[in-house]
Amino acid sequence: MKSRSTLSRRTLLKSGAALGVGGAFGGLAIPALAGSHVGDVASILADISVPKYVREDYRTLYNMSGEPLWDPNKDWIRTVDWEKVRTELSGTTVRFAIGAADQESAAEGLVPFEKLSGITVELVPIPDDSFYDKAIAEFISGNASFDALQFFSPWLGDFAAPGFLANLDEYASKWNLPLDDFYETYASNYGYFNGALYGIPFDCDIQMVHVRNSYMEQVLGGPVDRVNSIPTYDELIRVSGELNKIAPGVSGVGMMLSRGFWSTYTWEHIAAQAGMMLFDENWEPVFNGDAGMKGMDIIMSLVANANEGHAGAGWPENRAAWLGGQVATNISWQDSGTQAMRPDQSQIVGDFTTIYEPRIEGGRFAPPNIAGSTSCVAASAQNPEGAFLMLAFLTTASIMAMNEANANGVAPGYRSVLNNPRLQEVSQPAKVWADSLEHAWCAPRLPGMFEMEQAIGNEINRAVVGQITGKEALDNAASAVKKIMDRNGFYGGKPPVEYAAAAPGLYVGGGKALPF
Amino acid sequence: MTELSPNLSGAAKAAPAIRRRSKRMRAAFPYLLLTPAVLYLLMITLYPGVYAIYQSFFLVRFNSWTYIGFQNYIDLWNDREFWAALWNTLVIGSVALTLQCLLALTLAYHAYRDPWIKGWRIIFLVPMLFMPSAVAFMFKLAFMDARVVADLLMRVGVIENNIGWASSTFLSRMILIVADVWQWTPFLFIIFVAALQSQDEEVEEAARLDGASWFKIFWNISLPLMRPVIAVALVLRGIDITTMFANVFIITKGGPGGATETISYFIYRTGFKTFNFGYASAASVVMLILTVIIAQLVVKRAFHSGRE
Repeated sequence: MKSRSTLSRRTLLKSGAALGVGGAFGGLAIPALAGSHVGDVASILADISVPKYVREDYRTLYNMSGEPLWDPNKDWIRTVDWEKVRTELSGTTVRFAIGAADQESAAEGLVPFEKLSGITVELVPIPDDSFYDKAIAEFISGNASFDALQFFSPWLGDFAAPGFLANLDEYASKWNLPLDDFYETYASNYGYFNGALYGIPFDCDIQMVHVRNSYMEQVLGGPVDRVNSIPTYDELIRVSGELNKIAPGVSGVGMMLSRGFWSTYTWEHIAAQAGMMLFDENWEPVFNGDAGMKGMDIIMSLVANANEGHAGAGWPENRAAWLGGQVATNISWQDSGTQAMRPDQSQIVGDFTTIYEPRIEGGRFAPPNIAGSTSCVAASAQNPEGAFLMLAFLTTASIMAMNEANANGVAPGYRSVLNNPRLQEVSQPAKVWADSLEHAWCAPRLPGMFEMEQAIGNEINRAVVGQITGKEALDNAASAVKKIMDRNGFYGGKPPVEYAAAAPGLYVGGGKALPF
Repeated sequence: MTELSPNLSGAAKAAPAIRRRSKRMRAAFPYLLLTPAVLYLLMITLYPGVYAIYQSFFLVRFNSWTYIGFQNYIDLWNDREFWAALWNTLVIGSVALTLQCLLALTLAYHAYRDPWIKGWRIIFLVPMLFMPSAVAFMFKLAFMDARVVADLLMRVGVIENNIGWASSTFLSRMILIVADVWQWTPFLFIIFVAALQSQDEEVEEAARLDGASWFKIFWNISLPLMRPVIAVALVLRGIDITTMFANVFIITKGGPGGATETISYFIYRTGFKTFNFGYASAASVVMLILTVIIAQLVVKRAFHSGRE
């Protein structure tokens, strides 16, 4: 999310919420870079490589050999027939809505695509903090100024349900998009809505638990073990209490418990381990049951050992506290681990470990796939097929792997990438992350889901600061969610989303053996 | 000259008589001149207002509008968060406004006869020249992210540990109030200085010769004469505080637990975070009505008292 070079979930989140499509409404589209002449496919592809794409200081730091961090046989840009692409689409134009801050880097990154395909890309820069509003305005107009866009994945239901997005099934099949290489949790929740493909997963996230080695070793009396050092949340509560006293200015645990979706995500993360599901098969909210309450109880216990800013902490504040060494353990996204390895971003290089998700007695191993972003084609696109190909290029395995190596916050969701040993050397969380994804939990992408996440988080935040009890918070949230769903067409006979279509993606770990 | 005179005279004779506009045209002319400006103002104020009122009777989901009558208003009446936002606005606004008024009055009274008053006015203007968002970030850094205030307090031994500003209702509200007072007290100061300077110096002089203390002069002479000015200034500032947004958006996001969520932030969150535009419009309309009523009451009362 802290992506510097590309559009990502956090670019949008950190600014209050929203990538922004279109500032540029009104025809401010500009060519990606001058000249979109086609070139030799083999040489262009050869240039999409570690030495050309990964920062030199990181290559030096990790002695990267230049060998690919991905499997070339599963890298879409190396398997697609570019001659066929050129034959069918060369000379056409694609308009790509992108956060204004990322315009320059995107323009650079798309030059090879233009040369490979003969398609010209025009960037439609949009202010990052109003991406959602602008996208909606453009969609509603029925004449969007862009063909493709990337956005926060919880919005998928909001955009797909009213028919704003193009169905990509036909293109995915025609151009052999390697959907099977995506982890199921990403394909299901960032790609599909009601059984149809609308998105190609872009920034593929998971929340994890990270711990500081030096402090943990003082408490444990030995080195940190990814599986056994903190096997349960009860142990995390105990250990964070000890860690809270270990050094001045260092708190036991860091968490995001600010109002809105930040609190929701932290609670979902923990409650999912207790077996919590948000809805039953009739789309009735059931998260205020025992499992949800267990999550609340754990949060309330952890709060006592948390850093002083926890109740106002979203991702930027939490990231600053973690990378700045102010917390001894941290509940956050995987890239808090990747970035903690980079000396230019972190003060805790070499002094942390990302552990397997702590369990809860009577619960399950369900690491949470939370937030993330996806890439879609507008239903009103003038060149939907070209837009699809451009998005497939941007999300291809090799480019996503090198995003991870650059620690820019845009995370890969491919098995072939996360299980690559060379990638795991430059991304400390990758091994645990890859293992965890086979068991991931995820919230459904429903129309109104983002609004629901806001409503739940507001109530949880009230409980965290002592205004109400945890039970009251969840009950209030369940009432609010029911109202929001009602407003979005649920409970009226034919829900806008079939539960059966969403259910498989909500928890993918059922019946699987644990990875440790 | 002589040669030209006959020609000029001839030209004058040949020129058609100046057409006088009709009486109706003369009456309409000023209105015609004003029309573009009035139309522009109506377009940017009246149209959005009417549109908001219209939209408040609908359930709006993106491009789908469903007429629901007064349901949004009924929901608002039963919405705890709406009432909490109103209360927060009242608490934060009234404390900030009171502090600003007292500070500005005190400073203005002591400065308005000062020979350096022009310099003071420029110095006092500085906080108002900052962008509100920049001020908000400054206070966020000072109190929260950069821990400047807590660090200073720790270094002088006032506190032992960092302060959980974001977790405390009192402290979070206090930050918003301090930021607002810092930036906008000068606005009132400048108005009050102008009002004091416009008062007749001889009245003050006479009171002073009669042995009145500075406080008595201020309380019995200056303050009553300033009452209408104070009322207008407070109404202007009050309206501004009621719409306080940047500080909340940047510093607290309405937390902790909604304790600093002002009505403006509530409307923003409802409209642009949860996309319930009809509901947000209804809240805006209620807000507008309340503001107008309160402003009218304050001004009417102040001017009435002033006449007395």
